[in-house]
Amino acid sequence: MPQTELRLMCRNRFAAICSKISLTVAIVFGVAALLTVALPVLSAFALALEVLFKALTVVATLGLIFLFYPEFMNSIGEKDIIDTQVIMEFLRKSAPYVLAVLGVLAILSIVLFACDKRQRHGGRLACNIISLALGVIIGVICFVRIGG
Amino acid sequence: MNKIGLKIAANSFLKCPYVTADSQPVKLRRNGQWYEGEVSSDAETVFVSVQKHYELESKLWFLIGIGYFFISLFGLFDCRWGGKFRCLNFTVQIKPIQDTHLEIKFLNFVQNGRAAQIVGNCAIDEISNVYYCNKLLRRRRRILALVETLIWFALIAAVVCLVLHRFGII
Repeated sequence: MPQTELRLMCRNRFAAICSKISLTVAIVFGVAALLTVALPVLSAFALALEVLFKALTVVATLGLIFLFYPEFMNSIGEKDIIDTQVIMEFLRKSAPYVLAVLGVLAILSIVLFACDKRQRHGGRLACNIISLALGVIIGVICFVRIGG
Repeated sequence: MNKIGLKIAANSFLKCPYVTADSQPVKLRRNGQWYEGEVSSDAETVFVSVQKHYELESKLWFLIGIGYFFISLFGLFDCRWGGKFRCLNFTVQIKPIQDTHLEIKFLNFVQNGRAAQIVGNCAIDEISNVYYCNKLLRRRRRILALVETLIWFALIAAVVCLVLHRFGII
């Protein structure tokens, strides 16, 4: 078996593995980071629905509720569906390392795929660029939400 | 010096063919669905060969396989090896003229079936033209799969032992 061919195949396989890892990490961290942004919005929306349904269904007995529980309206705003502090803490601790590894892997696989002139790796290159972009978005979210 | 223009239409199985002319690799560039290359030769007859290679053909196949298993985080992010290891044996002998053009179209894979159709403006003598499944590579892949499974069992056992030890059970 020709050594050049073997080297090319090994390089392509390594690039594909790097690409898969970077994309998976980007998706997992992207979802985690976006949750920290989206959850307060979702919880506010759920709160609005909750209030709406309560207003519709409970309006008839609201007087009774206020009779027994006068602080009911004040307690609605205090509720939080999911504690985003846990996710934020996780991101704060691991984000710098994970983002660094993600960036290195994505750039490495982009370079390796781009160097291969014999085959076209358009799809994989696009996926890597997306994962890199996702990494940048996660970085911005972490910087804005958590403070670096 | 005679110039031989090669035009190869690869199919889904043979995405990146390895082509040699008189045992020298031919540089191919992709042009749409075609791979194109050019060979210059003074010889009266030229042997053109197309091959499909796999990493497991190497002498260091076991190290390569296990290395990729660890690099890809215990095979979680590894690429598929292609279970059937389809190969081809395609060699033709041609007698080139001043401006030779060869067009090789690869057919769909059929075990022990014809691999390609060749059209050209010179005398072409087919030496071999057949698809086959490489049983040696399949056996090597099975050995690798077995070793990988054993590593996974060892890993799971180690994790279970660690957890049990942490909770003071063992």
